[in-house]
Amino acid sequence: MDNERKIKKIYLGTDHKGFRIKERVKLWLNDWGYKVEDFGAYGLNPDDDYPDFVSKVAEKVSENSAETRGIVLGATGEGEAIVANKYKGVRASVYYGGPEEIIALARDHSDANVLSLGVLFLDEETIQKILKLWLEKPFSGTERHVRRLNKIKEIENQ
Amino acid sequence: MIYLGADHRGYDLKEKIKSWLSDWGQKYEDMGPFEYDKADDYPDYAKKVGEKVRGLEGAKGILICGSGIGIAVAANKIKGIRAGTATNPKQIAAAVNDEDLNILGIPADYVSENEAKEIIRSFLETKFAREERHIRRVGKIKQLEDDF
Repeated sequence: MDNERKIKKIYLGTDHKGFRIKERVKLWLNDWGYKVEDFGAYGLNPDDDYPDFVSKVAEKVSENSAETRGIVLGATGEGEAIVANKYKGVRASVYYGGPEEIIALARDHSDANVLSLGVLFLDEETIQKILKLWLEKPFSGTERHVRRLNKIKEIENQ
Repeated sequence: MIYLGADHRGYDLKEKIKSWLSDWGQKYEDMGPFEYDKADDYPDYAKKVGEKVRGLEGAKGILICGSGIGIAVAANKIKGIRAGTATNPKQIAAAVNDEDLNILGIPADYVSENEAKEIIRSFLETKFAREERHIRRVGKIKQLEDDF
């Protein structure tokens, strides 16, 4: 399966905490041939608020949750993932270090379409490695995982 | 009050957590599962715990599955819930401090019992910082939920 063709666009968003790394991520994604849209921050402003940027990313992913992805960054990545998960069709998982297997599972079991990075805990080399893993790992599509994701959709529709 | 939930991968750890909470004098309610069932689904318990936590001022939740990923996604779909999964106590302390997290996700396959204990302790002992910028940001999350 050629995952690169299946991802039509990747949306980026971060506050000041992830700004510098986001600019690097943008370069890498472009090098790897992905279409990218950056929703900011566009400069370093210590008073900016992550929900403003993450909501824009999540809203776009929500519009086409099967073929687009989002990458959001923050200090821990937790708040960013919370915001993203509020949107229908978005499944955001956090990575702030630890076993890379967590990234593979986020894709394999949960079909995660937004990745939230905790930059406080990560270096550039690690981020680059796990981004590749995350972008290339397909969803398993096995029956029990599909069933569980459908139950998440039911919660969304309540 | 602390509400607990898990799927089959977190079932054993949930049972241990109950004994720790009792030792610490923490009131809790177990939302299930009440026996091991390898075919159960984490969103069912994320929903039960999430609805309880949002319904009671000051309540917290602990959800356990294998990776901690899906259960946090599911819980965050519920209005009023701010759920995060942690593999170390510092990480969860930062998330509670900044985001006023009210549900903790534990990845049973990736933490030892001792680590789980320390993460839970950190989750229960850390308070929301209530600094203006954090209040503003959490306020924006609540506004988003209201707008939907």
